[in-house]
Amino acid sequence: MLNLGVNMQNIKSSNIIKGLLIVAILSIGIFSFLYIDFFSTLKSALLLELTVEPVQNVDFAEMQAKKKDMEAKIDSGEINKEDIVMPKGLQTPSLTSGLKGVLGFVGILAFVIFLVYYLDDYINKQNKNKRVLQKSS
Amino acid sequence: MGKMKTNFYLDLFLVIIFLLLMEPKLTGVVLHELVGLAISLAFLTHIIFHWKWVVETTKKYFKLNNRSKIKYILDILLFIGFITILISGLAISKTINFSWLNLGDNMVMWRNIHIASSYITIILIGVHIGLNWKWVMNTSKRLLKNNA
Repeated sequence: MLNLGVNMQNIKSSNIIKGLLIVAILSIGIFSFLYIDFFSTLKSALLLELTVEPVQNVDFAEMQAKKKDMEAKIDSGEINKEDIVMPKGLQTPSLTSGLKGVLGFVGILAFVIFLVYYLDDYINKQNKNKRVLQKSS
Repeated sequence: MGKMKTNFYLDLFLVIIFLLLMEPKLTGVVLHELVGLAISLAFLTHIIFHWKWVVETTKKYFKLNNRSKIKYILDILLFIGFITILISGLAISKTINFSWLNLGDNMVMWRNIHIASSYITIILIGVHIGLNWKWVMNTSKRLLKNNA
């Protein structure tokens, strides 16, 4: 029998599944944070560093006119559509990359839920133990 | 059970739509803006459904235990987060003209606020669900039992 310093027979299979699930959620969460580039995007946004908007201080009508002008130039072949670098939020919808992004956020959400739930559960158990000890003493 | 069922499905709907809206690349800007506006109404409905809790908790805030106090503060932060997302979203809207709201024309600033508030809010949503996870599990079990 393999001896890892613990009695393997005492480890229930449900605990192994639980352990694997914990590792999986933690891994998915960390991967998602990195994939979405969560913290650097948030930091840049908080410091007002994201300059995704090409033109500043334009009114709605002007922006619509520029958009129509650009579309006309693309239609006439004056500008190649692929040469235009669009801000992230304005890019053409893409199911594949969009779904990847959404999955990234799902991973982040699952990670946070899991972390908070276990932390909350741990604190509750500690408080319960404290109360039992206080009562018995 | 009826109210609980409505609450549960409304909350589930809010989370799913919010996640889809986190990536405008998936929906495109037009749908992102329209669905964003619609989800704001759903969010208001969520608050109306829980209004009794809001009033009662505010009244007895100082008598609450630490956990409930944290949950209450978290909910206020969530509310501020959603409102910030909504207002900044209106300011940078390209589909519907909200210029009559006079939110200023600094699009860069509003876009940064929109992104930052949505990133912070998704973390707050995670904390909110995590703290209410037992309710989520119990309710989904009850609903599954009732449906079976």
